[in-house]
This record gives sequence, structure tokens and C-alpha cells, in this order.
Amino acid sequence: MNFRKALLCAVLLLAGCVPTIPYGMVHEYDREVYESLRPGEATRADVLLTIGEPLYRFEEDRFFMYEWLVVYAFGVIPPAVAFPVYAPHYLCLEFAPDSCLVRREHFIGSIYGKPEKAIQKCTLMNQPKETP
Amino acid sequence: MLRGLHLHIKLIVSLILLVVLIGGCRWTVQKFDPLSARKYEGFIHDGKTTKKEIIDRLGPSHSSYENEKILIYNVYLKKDGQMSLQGNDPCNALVLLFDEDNVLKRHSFIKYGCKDKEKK
Repeated sequence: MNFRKALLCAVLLLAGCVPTIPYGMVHEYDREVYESLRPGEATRADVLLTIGEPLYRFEEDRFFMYEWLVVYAFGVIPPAVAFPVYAPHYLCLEFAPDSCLVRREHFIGSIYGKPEKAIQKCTLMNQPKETP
Repeated sequence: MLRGLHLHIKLIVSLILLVVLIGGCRWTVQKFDPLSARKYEGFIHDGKTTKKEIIDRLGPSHSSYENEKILIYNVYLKKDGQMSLQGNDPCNALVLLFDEDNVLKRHSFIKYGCKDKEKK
């Protein structure tokens, strides 16, 4: 089997299972920027005016959660199929009833992880009431 | 031996291409600097523009927060200085904060700051 045939077979075989990066998730949040949003100082309006809309909103906007993906490495399946190894990152923000930011946490999910655990952690183990 | 070398080269080239392609597709969510945002602002002025004017010109917002004190529009910025509510590029968030009298208090353009970043 020559290189082209091998590559074509590998691509066809792996097309359904090789992870790809969801388009909307390649937008990362700058640590320096979100760390400038300090609990006790920033408000919900400051957050929205600085980093835009959260992907998740819970409990009448008491909690915001932002999500993005970070590629750590590339896996390789010879002869020439490579795929990204990534993990989701989450920025969890909690607001007081007066709209003041009271908690800011950054979570890193497991490789190809889903957001459920981060949502539970963010909302202090409460069940999510809204999903996007 | 030579065939093995060819495979290695192809593998390395594929990896480099992948790194370049994925690397080139990463964007950081950030505020537009005020100077470059100014050309898109048009009728939007802090302390002057009312919520009614905004809604009359742009229609209903994509999202709202704090009893509509904060409105967010998904906007696409064209090179000619026009702001559009539809486009093919990744979308940006126009965040508008109003005071008690429904007059614009502060606003910002957040590059790639939309909730739904996917192409519409």
C-alpha cells in the first residue's frame, strides 16, 4: 500500500472518531484580562464589558461560566494522521445580589472533558437550572 | 531506508501544517482598542444615545442582563467601517450598559466576545 492509499484509509477510518476542535471553542480568554476582574471590586456589568458573554448562565445570573479549549499536544497515528489533544478550561464567576463579583475561579477539565463537573463545581454542587 | 525517510518527512510536514492551521485559528477574546472601535460606533455615544434609539436602529438585542440594563448584540465589523448584524466572520459582542434613565452609560466592543461564536 502506498502512502496516499494508507493516508486515505486512515482518514476514512478515523473520520468519525478523531477529535476536532469545536469552532467556537478556539477563542481563549486572556488570564491577565480576567484576573483584572477582582472579587469585591468588579460588577457583572464590568465583566460583560470586559470579556463579553458567558457560555453558561445559572441561577438568574448569580453564576457565569466561560469555556475555552487549550491544545496541549498532538497525537499521531502513523503514517500521517495527527490530532489535537485538548482540555477544556472554565472561568467561573459568582455574583452577589448587588451584582458585585464575589468569586472567581479557573478550572481545568480532563482531556476531552465535558462541562458537567465544572458546572457542578461552579454552582457549588447545585444542579444547573439553565443550559445554553 | 529512503522510503522510511520519506514517511518521516511527510509526517513532520503534516504535523507542522496541523500546528500552523490550528495555531492560526486561535483567537483571544479581547476589547477592541477605543481608537479602532471608534470608526464602527456611528450613532452610539455614551451619555447621549438612548435605549430606544439603539433598539429602533438595531432591533431586539441577542441577550440582556439585569432587567435589560445591559444589552448585548452580536455584531460583525466590516473593513469599510460598517457594523453589521449578520456576517460570515466570528462574531463580536457589542455590550451596552444603560443608566436608570435608559441613556447609554458605557459600552464596549469585545472581539470574539459572543456567546454563540459559530458562524451563522
